[in-house]
Amino acid sequence: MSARNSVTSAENHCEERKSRAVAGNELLHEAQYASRMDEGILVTSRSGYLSEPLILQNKRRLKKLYTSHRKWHFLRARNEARRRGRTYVASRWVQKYGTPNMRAVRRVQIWEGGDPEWAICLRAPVAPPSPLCLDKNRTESVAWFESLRRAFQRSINKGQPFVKRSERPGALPQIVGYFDFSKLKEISTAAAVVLAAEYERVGKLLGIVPPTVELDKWQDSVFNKLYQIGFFEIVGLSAKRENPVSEEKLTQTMRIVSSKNSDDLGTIDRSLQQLGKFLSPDQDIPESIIIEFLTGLSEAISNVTNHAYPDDIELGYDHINSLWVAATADRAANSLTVVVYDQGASIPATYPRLDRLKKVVRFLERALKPNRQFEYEDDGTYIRAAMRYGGSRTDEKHRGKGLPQMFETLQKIGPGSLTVYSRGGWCRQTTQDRRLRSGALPCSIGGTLVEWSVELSGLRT
Amino acid sequence: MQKTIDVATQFSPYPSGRVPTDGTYNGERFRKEVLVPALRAAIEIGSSQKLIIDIDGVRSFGSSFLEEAFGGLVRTGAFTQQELLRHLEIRCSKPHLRFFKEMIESYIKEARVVSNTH
Repeated sequence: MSARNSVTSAENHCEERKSRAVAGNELLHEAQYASRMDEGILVTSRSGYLSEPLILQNKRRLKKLYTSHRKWHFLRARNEARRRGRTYVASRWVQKYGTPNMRAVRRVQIWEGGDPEWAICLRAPVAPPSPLCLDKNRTESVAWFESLRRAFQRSINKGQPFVKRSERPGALPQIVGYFDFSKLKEISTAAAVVLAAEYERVGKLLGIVPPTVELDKWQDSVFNKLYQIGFFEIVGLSAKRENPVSEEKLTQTMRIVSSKNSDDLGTIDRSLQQLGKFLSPDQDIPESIIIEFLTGLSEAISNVTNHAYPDDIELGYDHINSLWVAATADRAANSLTVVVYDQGASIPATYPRLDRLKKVVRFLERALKPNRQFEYEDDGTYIRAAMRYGGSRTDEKHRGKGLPQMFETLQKIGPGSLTVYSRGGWCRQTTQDRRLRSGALPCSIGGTLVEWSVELSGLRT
Repeated sequence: MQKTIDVATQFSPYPSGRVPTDGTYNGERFRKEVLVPALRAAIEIGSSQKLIIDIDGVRSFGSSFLEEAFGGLVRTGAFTQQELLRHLEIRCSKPHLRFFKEMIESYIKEARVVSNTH
């Protein structure tokens, strides 16, 4: 074959490819061939065969498809489809050769409180770990909350809206990415409280909350839990319900109370009484039990208002000086779980700062690790000290009854446990053996969460 | 002769916390606005006058509130322990509230004068 013939055959091949190209789908291949032919890079010998040096010469002249080139072709194809009035769907080529972000572009349904609407999402969604539970899946859940907090703080720092709306008529709104709650199968009350608190924080600091995405694909159990706890109300996506308590099969959950002090104890009292009636419809929950719970809550709230948001500690994240309280009654376990959460300085940050009683100092000297492997490794030890000795200080012996009194309260009610998560540490004490079990994680829960769980065995239905 | 103060109806069924930042119905407010004036009046009348604090309707009793309200009477130098023993009585008819009555009495007994800031 002559050199001319070989080039001619290449031209014919190119023409053939062009005629077979489908608009918008193979533009890139066309562009590649066009750019190669324009540069005349197909060089052959007189005999028509490509010798080794000529192959190498051709390879050097071929343009490698860098990411910036790919992106250019991708954007051109997308804009071309738009001009032709077509909805852009990532082509087969993009699926095969595109970068992960190109592949992730998709249409999703968002809800900002009004009617649901379609939007374009530019990045692949991130799924929270399942189950999202501080008890069953502690490390992954706390790590995910930390990543959520970082993402929200970036948005707060930038001050940009979560949904970008173009002025071009007919243009769909855009979101950069979202957390895909449709992959979540289970969420505990404590995790739901932390999630609601993070959303409320970003809503109050930024003035807007992230939209919920693909709400109809969420699992019923997750949607119901978040609905019961008042997640959609607290972030302003739906109106406040009349009844703060809602029921679903064997559980009844009190709507989360967001407050800055103990003035909402009345609301919490009425909700706890309703939960008690749910556990035992025939027999009123004894007033003594409600009073013990409220007393413990009062102590927990006092701890938050006194210690959680000091002016002289840098918290790392902007906060709204709030605390959150929620409760769930479980008929199957005949148990009542109450959760209090704050996004403050945390026990490990505030506990070591003050002069403590000698016995507390001795305990800390024995228990703290001399060489920490990660930043929060001693956090469990500080929480353990706080649960054992309270906030005991050398100069204020009349103060600091806090956590130990909360446990005493629990013991009067029935078998159960008191669990405290603070920054990277956690500590649990059960009424069965009173032993303190503690540990630490390399990530932070972003504050302090106290969870009482008590079995009301005297009220079995 | 005695005067009775019903904490639940005359102050709040949910007294909580020490200072105003802890909540509206805090221990410092109860001490300054309710206890101190009533005790002073009782002491002025004479040794037979008693001030009765009825805690029956109260729904929550944080130790912080109790210590600040009652322990603070001695701690701030407003009254001595003897004066309180003579003129102050805590009344409750419900068995599950007796624990709080004992707590109040122990806070009064253990309090030491820190400053005269009543």
